[in-house]
Amino acid sequence: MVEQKEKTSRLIFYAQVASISLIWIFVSGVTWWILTLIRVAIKLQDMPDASVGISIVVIPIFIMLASTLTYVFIGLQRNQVDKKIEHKSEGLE
Amino acid sequence: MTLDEFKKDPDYILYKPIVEKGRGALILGGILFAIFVWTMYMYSTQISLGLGVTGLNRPISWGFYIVNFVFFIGISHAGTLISAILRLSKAEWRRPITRMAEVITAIVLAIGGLHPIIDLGRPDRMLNLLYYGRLQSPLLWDVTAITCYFTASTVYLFLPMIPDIARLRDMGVRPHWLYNFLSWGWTGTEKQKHILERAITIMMVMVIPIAVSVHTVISFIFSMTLQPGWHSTIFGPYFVVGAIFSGIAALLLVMIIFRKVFHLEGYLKLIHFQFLSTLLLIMSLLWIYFTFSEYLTGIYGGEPHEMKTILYKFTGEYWPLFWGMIICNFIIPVIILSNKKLKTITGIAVASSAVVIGMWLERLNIVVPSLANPRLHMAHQIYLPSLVEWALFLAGLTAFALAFLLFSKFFPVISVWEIKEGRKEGLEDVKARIESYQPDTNIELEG
Repeated sequence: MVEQKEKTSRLIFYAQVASISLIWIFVSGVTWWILTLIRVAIKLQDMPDASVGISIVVIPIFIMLASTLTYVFIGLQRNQVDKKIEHKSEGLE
Repeated sequence: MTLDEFKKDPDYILYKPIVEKGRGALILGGILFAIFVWTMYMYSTQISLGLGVTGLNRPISWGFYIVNFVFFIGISHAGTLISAILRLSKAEWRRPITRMAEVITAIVLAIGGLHPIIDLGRPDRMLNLLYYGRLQSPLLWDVTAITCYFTASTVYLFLPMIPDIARLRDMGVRPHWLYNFLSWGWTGTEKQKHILERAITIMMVMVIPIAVSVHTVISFIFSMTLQPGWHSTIFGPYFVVGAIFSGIAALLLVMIIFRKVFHLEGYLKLIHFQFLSTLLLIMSLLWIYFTFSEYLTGIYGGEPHEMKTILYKFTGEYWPLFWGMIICNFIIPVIILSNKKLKTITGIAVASSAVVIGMWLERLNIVVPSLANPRLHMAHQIYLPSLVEWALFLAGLTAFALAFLLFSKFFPVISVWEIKEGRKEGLEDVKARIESYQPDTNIELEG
């Protein structure tokens, strides 16, 4: 029973890590897309400064959003792990 | 804690729709789903036959889809922006409101964002954006801004939900895996609270400029053209004001519905409605000020094409829509909300409904009459939406109701931990804040 529970929680943890990775894949995708559009604009001499201006604003926002989510996830997980270690050491004593 | 003990929680009523799933929701969900399936069938006719099944023509090449796009994105300002402003200003009365506001934003943004794809006729053409997009075009600014706002709103909705999700997980509410997955290992320690609060603060500061920029950018798809009635410098703020205006009205309507259905009278009190409706009244006055400035400038300039469009709006085929907009957005809300006797829940419901309808009419008044009066000489046309367009409008509304219903069956529509926090710390917080506002007396100053 305990083993099953641990297995489930491990699976859920992997799924959570996958979901956090997804936001980074999404942000990387958006960044790559915008950079491609800038490259095309430069190649065609089609007002590249406008593209650069927009990307300067947009890319950091997306990165900030993903970073905030990751910060919360790591923070909550780390705290949970610390708490578990604390409980275990209390049990040993 | 067992489920029976959980039921003794003073705020159990907020979890009740999740724990005790009734038949009513299932029936309502079924009806909404059936309507949605029918609307999708109607959409399939558009995909197979093309935009010819709509009422669009030359020169009126934008109709219901773009109107609904602007309308739904406008409604999205209900949530994140209002919630972020209220949180930032530490308005204590925000606590039962913020969650609903944030949910409206996430759902409505998803619905609104799909409308330009419907308007394309061939949705596969969306891929052209990826391959051949031009960031110089305001249309692409829209895509970028809406994607950004949707991501930010979803994160901003999710983060404050974590403690409530963890509580559902701890109570063993089903589906257990879902709550376990979404709670991110929350146990409610002081350190975790600190991390979450810091993240929410970052988000609320970020979300306000993003929200403002989104509707400004949406106005740019009109104002960056030389089309009469669109080429205006005040379109950005005009759209933002309109969006907040319609957003508050939609939020009030959602609050009234949930209050009635889930018996939340103890949480959503008359005072919450009065505070929000005062904001609605202010927005109504701001909206009429912008509308007046917009038309007065056009009329005073007297540019022939501009004048033709303005007169067309006032007296042309669409005149009932224009004057209906004025009645719904200004006359009805001002009469009701400035009168203490009429400012009841029913009165506020009437005013909010009027504003939602009025703001939809406003979007229609912006899009259609301008296109009907182009600068080039073209045969005069009238736009009448087809059944397919009406069906897809219904699809948007149904999807909204269905998504909200689903949400309310899995998550609390009121942030329970914030309510508890308000009871515990809110009173002391407000007291300390009010004391800090008080002017220092001479004795204290001398001391």
